Amino acid sequence: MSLIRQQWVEQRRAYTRVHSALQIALLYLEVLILNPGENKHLNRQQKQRTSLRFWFPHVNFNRLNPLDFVRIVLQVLWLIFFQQESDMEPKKRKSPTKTVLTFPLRVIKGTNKKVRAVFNQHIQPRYSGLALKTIMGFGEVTHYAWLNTATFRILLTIAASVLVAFTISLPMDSSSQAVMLLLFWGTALWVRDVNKRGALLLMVVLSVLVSTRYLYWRVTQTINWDVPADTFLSLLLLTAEIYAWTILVLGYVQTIWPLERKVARLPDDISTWPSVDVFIPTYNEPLHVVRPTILAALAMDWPEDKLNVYLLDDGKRDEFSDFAEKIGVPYITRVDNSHAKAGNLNHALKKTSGDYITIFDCDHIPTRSFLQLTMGWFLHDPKLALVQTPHHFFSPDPFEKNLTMFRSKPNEGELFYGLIQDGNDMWNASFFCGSCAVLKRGPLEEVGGIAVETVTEDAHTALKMHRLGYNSAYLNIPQAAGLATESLSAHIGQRIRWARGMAQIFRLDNPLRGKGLNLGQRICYANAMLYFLNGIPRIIFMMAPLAFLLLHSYIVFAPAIMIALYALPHIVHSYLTNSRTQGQYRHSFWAEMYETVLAWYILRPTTVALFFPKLGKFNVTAKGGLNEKTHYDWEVSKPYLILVLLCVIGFSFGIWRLFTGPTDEYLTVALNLIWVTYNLIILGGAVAVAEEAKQVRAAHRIAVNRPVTFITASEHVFSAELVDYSDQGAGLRIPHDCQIERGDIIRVFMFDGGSERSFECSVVSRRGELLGLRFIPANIETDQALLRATFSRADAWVGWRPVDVAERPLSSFQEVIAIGIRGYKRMAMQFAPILLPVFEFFEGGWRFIRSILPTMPVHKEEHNG
Amino acid sequence: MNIIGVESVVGGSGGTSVVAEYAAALNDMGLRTIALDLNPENQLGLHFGLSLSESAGVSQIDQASSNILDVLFESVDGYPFIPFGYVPEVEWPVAIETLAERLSSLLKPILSTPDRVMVIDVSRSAFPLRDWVYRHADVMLNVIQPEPRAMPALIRYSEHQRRLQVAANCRSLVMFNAVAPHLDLSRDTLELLRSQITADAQCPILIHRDQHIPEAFASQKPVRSLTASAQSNRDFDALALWTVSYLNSDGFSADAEDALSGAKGSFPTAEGSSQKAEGSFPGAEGSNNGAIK
Repeated sequence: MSLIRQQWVEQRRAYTRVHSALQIALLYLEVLILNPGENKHLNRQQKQRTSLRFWFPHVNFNRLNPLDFVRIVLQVLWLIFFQQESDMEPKKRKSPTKTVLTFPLRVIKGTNKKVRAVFNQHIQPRYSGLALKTIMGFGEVTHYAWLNTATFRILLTIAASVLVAFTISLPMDSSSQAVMLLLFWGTALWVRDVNKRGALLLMVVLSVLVSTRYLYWRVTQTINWDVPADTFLSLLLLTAEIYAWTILVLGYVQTIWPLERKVARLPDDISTWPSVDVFIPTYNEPLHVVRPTILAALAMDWPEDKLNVYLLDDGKRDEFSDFAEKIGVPYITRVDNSHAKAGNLNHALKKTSGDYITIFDCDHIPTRSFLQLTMGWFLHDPKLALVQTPHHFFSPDPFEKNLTMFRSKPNEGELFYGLIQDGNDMWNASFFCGSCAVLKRGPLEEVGGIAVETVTEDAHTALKMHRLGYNSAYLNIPQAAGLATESLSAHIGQRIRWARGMAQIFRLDNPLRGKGLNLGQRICYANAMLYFLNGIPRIIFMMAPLAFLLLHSYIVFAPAIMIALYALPHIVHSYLTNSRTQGQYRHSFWAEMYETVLAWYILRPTTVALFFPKLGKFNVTAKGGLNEKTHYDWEVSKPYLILVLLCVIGFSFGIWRLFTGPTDEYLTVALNLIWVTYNLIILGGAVAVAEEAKQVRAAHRIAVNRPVTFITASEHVFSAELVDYSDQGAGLRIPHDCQIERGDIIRVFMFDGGSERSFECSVVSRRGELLGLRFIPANIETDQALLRATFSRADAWVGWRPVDVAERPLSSFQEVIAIGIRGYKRMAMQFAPILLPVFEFFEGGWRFIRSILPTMPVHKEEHNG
Repeated sequence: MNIIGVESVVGGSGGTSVVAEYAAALNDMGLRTIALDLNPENQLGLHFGLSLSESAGVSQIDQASSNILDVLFESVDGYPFIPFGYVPEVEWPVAIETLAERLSSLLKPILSTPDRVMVIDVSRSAFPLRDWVYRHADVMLNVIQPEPRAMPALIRYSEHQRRLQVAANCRSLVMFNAVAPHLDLSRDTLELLRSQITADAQCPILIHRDQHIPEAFASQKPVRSLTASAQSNRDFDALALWTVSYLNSDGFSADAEDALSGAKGSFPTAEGSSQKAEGSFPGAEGSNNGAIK
């Protein structure tokens, strides 16, 4: 009794009478039900299980409110009836009290469990095992080696062609169409998770079949020839769809079998390694951006007498020439700046003589291993003219920054460098991307140096070399990293240049025509160029439902049910298949958002470039700037606001038609409403991106988690964790009992290869265990060592983003919806603040519902101190 | 019982401190480890809190009782150790001589326990004891500090100690202590020394020069009992972890009999492993400076 009194007194110090009573009751309840006292020998995880807080993570027991009882009841019911124990190993030890309390529940649960056990143990494994065996057998392509003879191939091709032609063109009524497509769909879902090439091929084949059937049906049966205006709109949509189909099929071909090239070994005899010139072109970038690149290039692991770094300054700045002189790097300038970067490189090409040329954009810091990993293939393949590595960015691009998805979701470039280039490599069609690549001097000079006819000189140069029969290689290991574009407008500017350049090449040096390319190369290049023409089709798709909703024009002249039966499978299959082939590199629906943002802006330049390919000049992408406060770039999103407005009007018209229109139009209206809603979501996302998040640090900090050592002025050495670093400073997590304050000088030890180096830092902040450091500049040699210990580590960019989670289109769709809503909220804030409470109401409501719903108990990592 | 000998190649390289911290780290890892002092200076016990006036030790066991367990101490934190015992300096030669003769029989009750480790502080000058350790140890860690004296010492080591250790069938490794990357001389010397020794003849774990170690000694405790966050604890943890994998690699056995028998030639792979160690030094046979490239 005295114990209770003591507890009471203790509780009363902090809480009111009622609250204290509640607390003590809870405490005893916990002891009674979960029995924590006697389990001293349990480990921490098991100990957590004996606490009420573990089982009710969403309830704050220190501050209970009436709703918490609802939460607790719901959670108990959920835990008992729905939560599988197997999800939460190891099994919870039940106390006798609980056993009595939950007896009736257990009976029900037990029966349920028995039935499920029979199903799980006997029925399900038998069938899923059977299914899996079939698919695995089917999916293992090596099993078909015996089929690979010329006769067989010809026979199979003929048979397949007949079958495909039949499948595509066979007219069917709606129910047989539905049955056939459900069958296809089921197959696709069935093999989706089978990690075999054959399964992927099957999905691609199904998707192409379904889409082609859809297109065939569209072309042959759905064009409205009766009303001229409708015919026009109808053909417009059809053109866009043919374009989309082409890109879809070419994309499948391009990425069907990524080569996933490995590193080729260099000979042991270092004297046989070739000489390499490193070109670092710069124009207007500040020295603090270029400096690390030059130092890291000099510090690459390559025989010193065979590595020559050149600084190519088109800006002709004294600061740069002084710096180059100081560190002994040849400084090259020219009288005019003709042909921008390409001209700059070509000028340096004439003045140097190394066997190979490596090009780094002035902000791309190479890792020390860059040359050792890339050069091997040149010595294995004498016809090889190019080895390209991915462009990796250690700062968030505008999408990543504004949508706060940095390092958690694949970014916009990842699809290209993660999958498309690897896929191109299979067809010997991976192309030069302007930086982070090695070119062979001979072939490069043979094509007249870097191409100057277009603004995407890189891809064009590679195309020219491919035409001469040279090979290219792509090594998908990030071996250099740079700054991403800092604002959405700059990002769009860069993409406009790419799009225009690609359109220019398509006109001036069309990969589908001309000599020297094989079919695969033609397809890959054509797809890379056609992809950038997506501006017009995408705008057409955005506007298409409005044709019916606003103008009441039947642009797809078919019953709504047939449209649904043909179009829906086409869409579903392409999403499923794309999610399977590229889900790791780009999540479904995110791509739509990325491309929608760009669509309007690349529309005009690509169209102009298609007709007048010689117009336009090179523009430099701005990097490394600051963004002092969050602001909204209305200028950029203006076209999308107009589209949103149109869609909203269309949507309202749709609702109006739903109520006033003829009943036989219901389905058509509904279909168009769904379409316009989808467009609205994607547009909302596009608008949300334009909200420029603030960026206050001049140097980007790279978050890591790496053990380091540091020594204090008193020569005490501590172990710590490197939390982040930049070229200016670092963040450490240090032991809490470490006596360090702001203003102290410490030295951090980090490994430069095999040897440990010391870097002097001043402490600029201390918050608990977190220490903010600024590197004190020393000499060039120490700076290089610092780079090699941070940005230039061979593994600096490996494992940048967790990739083990499989992409699921539906959850990606949810994310895109959330982003879309954010965009609308931002719009409301700007144009109709009166609507804000509505958003807040819905958000608050959703948060409230989430807080009531049961929550999965999770083990929390406890941090000591 | 596995025996690990630790010997300073140059006086003042910190061999005794290494033994104390190393044994503590092995114990913390769950490997019951006894630190044994075979250095007549009798300093090891001080690291574990032994009183200066305590004269008991392995050299002090009288002939009659002769039980090693009588001088097996345990520090406040539970680290077991056996001090050398106080012997006036003039009597050192005699004490060393007698102890060397009796050591095998004295240690018998401890050495016959399997799955244990004994880390021994070896003195360069106490020859007979040193030779006893060479004959019985699985590994000899020869501690060097990267400092100017190290280079001549390394040459002497490769001409002398290393040959004896290899001849006695024990793995001979160089271990770097008191590494200070922030001092140019220390860093450069380390680079030079490491470049002169083949990788399989040096212990891959480097111990940092850390003010925590002398401070811990001053308070007569291992660093881990005083400052948990010190880097030297991580260093010795790493050393302990490395030791386990190293001892479990080919040619070693935790069997007590083999360790006791002295004639380790009886055990089949030891010969091979010693030859492998010999072979790791370019030009080891014939030439005098085996460990030097």
